[in-house]
Amino acid sequence: MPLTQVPDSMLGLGGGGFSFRNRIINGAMMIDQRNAGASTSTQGYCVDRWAFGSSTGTLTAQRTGSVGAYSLTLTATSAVTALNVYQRIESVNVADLAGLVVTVSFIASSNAITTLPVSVGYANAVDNFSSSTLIASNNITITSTPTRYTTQFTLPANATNGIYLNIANSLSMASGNTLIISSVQLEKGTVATPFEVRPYGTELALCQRYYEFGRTLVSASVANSYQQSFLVTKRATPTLGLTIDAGTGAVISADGSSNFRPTANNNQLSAATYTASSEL
Amino acid sequence: MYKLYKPELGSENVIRLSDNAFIPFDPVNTDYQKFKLDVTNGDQLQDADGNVMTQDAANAFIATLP
Repeated sequence: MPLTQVPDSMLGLGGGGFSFRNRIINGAMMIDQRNAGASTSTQGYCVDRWAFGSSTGTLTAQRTGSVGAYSLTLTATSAVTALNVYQRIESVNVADLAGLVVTVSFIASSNAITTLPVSVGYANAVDNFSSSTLIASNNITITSTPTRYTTQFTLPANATNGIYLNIANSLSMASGNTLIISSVQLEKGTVATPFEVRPYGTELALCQRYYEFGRTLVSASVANSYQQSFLVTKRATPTLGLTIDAGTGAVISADGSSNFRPTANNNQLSAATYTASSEL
Repeated sequence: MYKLYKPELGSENVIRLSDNAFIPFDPVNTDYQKFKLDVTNGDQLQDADGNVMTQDAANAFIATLP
């Protein structure tokens, strides 16, 4: 039976054999560890797993909506050129799609934009997107009414290096223009199945493979330091940040992708907040 | 700008001075990949004592990294 004839109840939460069709993490835009729903104008990662950047101009990105109906809203605060809004998918999660057709589906709307270029490309080296190759870019005509759109791409053999989905490929926006995106899905085959709803805890854990933050205790000296575990093992040895509640000079170092060690807080034991990023 | 940092325990890092992030020398860490590109393209690298390395010295150091 084609997936299009499968009842929605089998495809969603608890749908059994048809789960994890979606290779996009946080396609529902509900996980927002960095900003917790606040607006950010700092280009880079915004809601979990999604990043944005432009060549010129300024804009904000924000998780909008409410539980069960979140979106990523981008608003140009000046004229913007070459905006990209993308998610990079690591090699181990897409290698099986090399040589196959994939279908991308998403809900989009805008107060002014009518043509949305959606592209897919691959990393030129395994999980290294410092240089990448465009596979194809498809123009989607959108309106001010949130509508679900679908488009297809054929992934080449090099997709085994990891791919990106760019939901706004080199887009220009005038000041005040908005772009609202939600329910992004990338799946094997030529059929866009209903958006896959995954449990919140599962989606959060998937995101935490790439970024997490938490509280920790910083030892007063190296001799008294101890190794602590990340909430989720990271994709790679992560980049770490540390903000201590009291004291100076504290440092933090990663022991591989599973553990870290905060220490040397000038002889003062202190609580602290850490961040760990192994984004692509 | 970056500064080398060798903790008493654990592996060597480089500190990204713009946000004091500790970047490990892991070839598949994206920030590490960018660090090497940035320094190769002329961004400043300081040794562990805070001395600014010459471009030649920085390039030579980068060449030794994984």
